[in-house]
Amino acid sequence: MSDFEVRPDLDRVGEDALREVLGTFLGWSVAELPPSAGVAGAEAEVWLQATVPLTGPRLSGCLQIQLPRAFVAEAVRRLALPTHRAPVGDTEVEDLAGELGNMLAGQVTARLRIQGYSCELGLPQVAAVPDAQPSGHSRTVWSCHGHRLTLEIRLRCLPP
Amino acid sequence: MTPTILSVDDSKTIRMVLARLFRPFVCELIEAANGEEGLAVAAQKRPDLIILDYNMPVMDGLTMLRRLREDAALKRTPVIMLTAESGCENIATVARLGVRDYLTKPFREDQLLAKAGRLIPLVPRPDP
Repeated sequence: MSDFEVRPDLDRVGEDALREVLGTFLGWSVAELPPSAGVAGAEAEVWLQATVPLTGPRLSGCLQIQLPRAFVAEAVRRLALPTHRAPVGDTEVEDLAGELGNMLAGQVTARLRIQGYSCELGLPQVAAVPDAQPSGHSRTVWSCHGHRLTLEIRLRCLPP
Repeated sequence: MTPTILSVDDSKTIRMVLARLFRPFVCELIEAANGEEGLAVAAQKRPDLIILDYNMPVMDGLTMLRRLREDAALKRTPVIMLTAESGCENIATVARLGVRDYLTKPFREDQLLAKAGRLIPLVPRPDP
């Protein structure tokens, strides 16, 4: 959360969005972890990073979530069974990672709008990342369904 | 007559969720991955209900909705809009285009079923 002249409470906004998306869509709860928890043990996992651009008259930036592939694969099975019996492939996993990013960004924009910052979403971009990136000062770390996730909202805002 | 539901969403996951959700009911669920494809499928199949995503590549949901309303054969087809964005401006725009209902992602599955059930008959499938 750098570059603010007036700072929306992005930690709170991100937390509310994450709880809403994972709770409503998957029925899974989340708990916040200390920032250092994001890297420990992550080397063994394959990670996906979904990035969604956010743009508006008085803000620009993006939302970024990093998810272990195994977490997303479990979520695909949770959402699609029993209609989808085939093994969960990269297409499904990357699709859901992007959709989770999209939903999170939608929840974030709704909350920012209430604080006077209207903005629109771009299309999500998903990329594999070698491991959980070292925690930046604006990144929060979460535990969900036995996995660690990281969420970061990077915005440059002008005063209302 | 078996109602036909057209799901238009670029997310395969959302299309799979809808397939699971409507599977217990007597209906045919057909799919399209963007607005352009959705218009072509709608023209061919004449669905009884369209569940339409807002934010999609190639052709977004709002453009597809406008094109539907210009088509004499499809302009009365009920549409439920699904979107990640919940802004009042979006709601007003799609309401003006005759959208019958609107759900913000993540949506509750029982809410979507209830909204769909108000627009088409949802009869449970008989046990096999």
